[in-house]
Amino acid sequence: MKCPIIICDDDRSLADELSGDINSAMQNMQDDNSNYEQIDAKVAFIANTFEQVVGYTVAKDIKGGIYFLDIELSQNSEAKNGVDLAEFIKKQDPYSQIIFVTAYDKYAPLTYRRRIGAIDYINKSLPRDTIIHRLEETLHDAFDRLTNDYKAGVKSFTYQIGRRVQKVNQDSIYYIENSLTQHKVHMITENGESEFKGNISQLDDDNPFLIKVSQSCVVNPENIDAVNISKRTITFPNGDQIVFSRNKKQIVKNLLNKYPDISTK
Amino acid sequence: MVSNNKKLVLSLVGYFYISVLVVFIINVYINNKSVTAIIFSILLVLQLLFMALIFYFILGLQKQYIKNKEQEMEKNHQRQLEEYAGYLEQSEDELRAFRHDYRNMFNSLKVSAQEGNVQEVIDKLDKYTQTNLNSQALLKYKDVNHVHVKSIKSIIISKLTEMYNLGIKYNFECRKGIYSLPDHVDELDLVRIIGITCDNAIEESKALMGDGKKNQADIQIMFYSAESGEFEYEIRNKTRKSKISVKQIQKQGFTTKKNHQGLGLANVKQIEAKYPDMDISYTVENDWFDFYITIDTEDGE
Repeated sequence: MKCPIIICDDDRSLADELSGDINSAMQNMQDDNSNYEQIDAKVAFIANTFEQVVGYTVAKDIKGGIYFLDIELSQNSEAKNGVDLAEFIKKQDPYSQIIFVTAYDKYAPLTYRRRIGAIDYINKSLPRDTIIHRLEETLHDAFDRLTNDYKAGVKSFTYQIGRRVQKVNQDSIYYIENSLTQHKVHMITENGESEFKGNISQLDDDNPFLIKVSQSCVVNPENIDAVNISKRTITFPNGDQIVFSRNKKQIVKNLLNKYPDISTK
Repeated sequence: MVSNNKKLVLSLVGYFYISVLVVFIINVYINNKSVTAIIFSILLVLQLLFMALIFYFILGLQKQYIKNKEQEMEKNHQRQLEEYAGYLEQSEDELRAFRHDYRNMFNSLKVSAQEGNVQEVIDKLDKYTQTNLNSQALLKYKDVNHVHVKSIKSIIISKLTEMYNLGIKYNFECRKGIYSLPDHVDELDLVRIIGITCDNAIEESKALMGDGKKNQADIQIMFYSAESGEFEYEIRNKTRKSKISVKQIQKQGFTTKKNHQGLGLANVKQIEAKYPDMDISYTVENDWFDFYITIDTEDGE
């Protein structure tokens, strides 16, 4: 799997130094762990401006690139910065993995997350060997995510929390039900749960992978553990149980046929 | 003041009414009208005076109590601003010391460079970077200077200080200046919400550190104000493994603290109910708890 690595920092010497550090990190990783042998990652481009990265990404139609960006890309505070660049890259290359290499005073993970999603950070002012260690960690995470995304295809479910657009992998969703709060729904995934504005019927209409099993609940059949037809319950891997309505019995029975892994008790 | 004390006024009037009745009944039993009339009129007048005295006395006590409360709040405010000013002054000193060292460093480097001793230049640069540029002091209240609403600035300084003193890893961000809150929101309600959520985060972090997982405690806080005037506040903290459900924590009386009433998030819910333009979301994921509130302006969507 080809993983082009692209670096951008308006300070030429820092950009070059980062490139050297990345090569050292990758050398360490290959020495330690042969898992990464099939990943063909190398520094493909060292840029110093916003425009250079944009031009390169579009011209080479990069998909699944790993980007190490500084946040401050120019002395002019009005000019485009690393956050703007990350936003552009994410639109252009949905598989892209982005890591900000920046000074601590620009470290604002939540502020950037609401715009461009979760990002990794490396503190620029750390001593060199700590930076290389951090590079190994972030590259490791980036490789893992890329392999998973390519395997699963990027099937994500998007919803809005306040002003923030949140994406979650479809496969991790267990079920979504009406919340105790008005106009809100409550979603349970394999990693946790979340509440956001929504409506069960609308979710059912907009998302074919979700199946409506009652007035107040839609489920993701891929994640159903067990179904009890007589008690009308559906159980999930985390032990949660929901009740489906009588008139959806046939729909649930169809699911049992379609997904033979579901156990019936 | 009178309307606030409906109960008090009613009780006093009731008391007067009973006094009148008692006087009247006694009057019926005693025959000597003129003497009794005078005596009891005097008694009634005394009762009236007594009532008025009690009433104004209680009013006075109330005013005093309210004044004390306000003074206490002012003192708190003052203390926090003084602490913040102290921190700024310390930073000023550090900057001055740094500038002084900077000059010395440059002179020393110049000498080494003139002598052509490159290795010495590199060694000196390394040494100076380690000691001077990694000062922790400048990081304690990073971005607090971008918060220009006094009450909010005050509460966040107070909570960040608490986190710092407990040794909890934290990060506060407020990248854009906040000059005002949406009009229809009572500042004190927002202060309360920030206070409660920070306290919860601190409690959970203390528990994590108590379990010996000092490196895992982590709190991230964000203030954000959009051009349109909307205000956003987010706080995330690492949690212990015990799977807490989002449904449970919003109920009254839920708490993970021993011997505590656990009113926090239920109170937040009550405040949220007052404002249709306020939206709160809870997310629990991968051992992080996330609390996120947006407040729209009234004429917003």
